[in-house]
Amino acid sequence: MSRVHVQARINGEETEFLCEPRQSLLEVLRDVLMLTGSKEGCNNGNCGACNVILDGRLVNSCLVLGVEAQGKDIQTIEGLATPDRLHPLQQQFLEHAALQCGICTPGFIVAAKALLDKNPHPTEPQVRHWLAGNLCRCTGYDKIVRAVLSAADAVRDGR
Amino acid sequence: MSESTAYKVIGTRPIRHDGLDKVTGRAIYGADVQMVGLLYGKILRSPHAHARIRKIDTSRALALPGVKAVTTHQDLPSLDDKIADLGEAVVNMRYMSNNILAEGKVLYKGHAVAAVAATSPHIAEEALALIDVEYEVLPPVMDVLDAMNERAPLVLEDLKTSSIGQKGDRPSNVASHFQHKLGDPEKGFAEADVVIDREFHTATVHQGYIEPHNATALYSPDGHLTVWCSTQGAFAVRSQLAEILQMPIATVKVVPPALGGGFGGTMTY
Ligand code: FES
Ligand code: FES
Repeated sequence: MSRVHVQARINGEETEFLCEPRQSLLEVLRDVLMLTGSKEGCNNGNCGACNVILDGRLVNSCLVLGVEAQGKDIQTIEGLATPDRLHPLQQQFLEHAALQCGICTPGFIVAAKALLDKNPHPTEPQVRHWLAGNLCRCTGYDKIVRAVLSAADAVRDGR
Repeated sequence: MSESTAYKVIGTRPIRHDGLDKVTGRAIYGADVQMVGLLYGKILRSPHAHARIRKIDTSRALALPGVKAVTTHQDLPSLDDKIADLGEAVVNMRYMSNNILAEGKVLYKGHAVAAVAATSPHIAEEALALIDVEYEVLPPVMDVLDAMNERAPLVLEDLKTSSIGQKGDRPSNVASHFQHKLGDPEKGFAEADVVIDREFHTATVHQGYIEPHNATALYSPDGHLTVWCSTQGAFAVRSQLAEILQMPIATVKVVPPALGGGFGGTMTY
C-alpha cells in the first residue's frame, strides 16, 4: 500500500513521516516515530492509554488516523518534561504514588494536561469527570485525582 | 513518639524507583521493544467450539507480499505427555503445545489454528483471511455438567480421569477428581438447624490488567532464542519455551520488561 507524506508538529518539533492511510496515529507515533510512551491498551477508544493532545484537543490516538495529523500540533507524554524539570503533573504523580504498573500513566498525565490547559483550577468533581475516559486497574483513581489537584496548585504557585 | 525518633523508612514517602521512567513515557514495556527487521504476528482462531481440522492450506497467505512465515501445529515438535509444574498449577506439556497451535482438533471457539508473521500488522491481518482451513464441525460440550455426562462428546479423546491417584480405564472429559475431607459432613448436616442447598453459576473471569499480552522474539542462527514478553514468571516462560520448542534451556533467554499489570494473570505469558 503506498504511503502518504505527512507533516506535523510533534512536541514542538516540525516532523515529517510516511504512513499508510490505514495506520492509526498511535501506530505512527509508536512504530514509525518510536515514541512508545503513548500506550495501546485496547485500540478501540476505551482505556485512554493512548491519549495525546491534537491541536489543543484531547484525543485517543488509536482512533485518529496518522494521515489526519497533517498540519496539526501534537503533544505526547514525551514532550511534557523539559531537560531540567518534570512537568508538575509528572512530579505530583510521583509524589502521590499515583502509579503502579504505569501503563495507564502516560494517558492519565496527558489527559490531565489537557484539562489544566483549559481549566487551571479544576474542582475535584471536574477532575474525576474529565478523567472518566482513562482506565487504571492497579492504582485506583483517588491518588491520581489528588495528584492532578495538587499539580494544579503547583502550577498556580509557580512550583 | 518523641520528636527526635527518626526512622529511615517509617514515616517517609519514598518515590518508587521506576517512577521517573513511567511518568515520562520512557519505561520500556513488552510492546515497546523495537528492533531492525521486526515482524508482526497475528493469529488465526477457530470459529468453532469443537471441530476436526481436515486441512490447512497456507499457500495463498504465503504468497501475499510482506508475509514472511505462516506456522501451524506441524511446525512445532511433537511432544510426549509430560507433566510440568508451573508454580501455581501443573500442566501436561503436550496439551499446552496443542493449545498454542491446535493439533488435529480445535477444542474451543478462539483456539489458535495458525500464526502469520509479516512486515506490518495490517498485512498479517490480511493474510489471516487467506488461510484456508477445512473443518469437520463436531458437537460441542458447552456446559461443565453436560461435559461430565458419560455420553458427552469427548473433547480430548485420549484423556482418562485421574481419580485420587488412579487412572480411569475409559476416556472421559473429567480430567481429575480429587477430594478434600475433614470430619463427618453427613453427621454435620444431620445435626444442622438449617441446610441450604443451592447451585451457583458464574462467568469465566480473568484479571483485567490494561496491557495486552505481547511477546517479541529474536532467534539467532546459532540456535539461541531471546524473548521479551510481559510476564510475571520469566523462569516459567523460559522452561515452557524450552520444553515446547525442544531446545536446551541454556539457549533460551526470557527478558521481562516493565509489566502493564498482571495480578497473577500473566504468570506464563
Ligand atoms: S488504546 Fe486508545 S483508548 Fe485504549
Ligand atoms: S498503574 Fe497499572 S493500570 Fe494504572
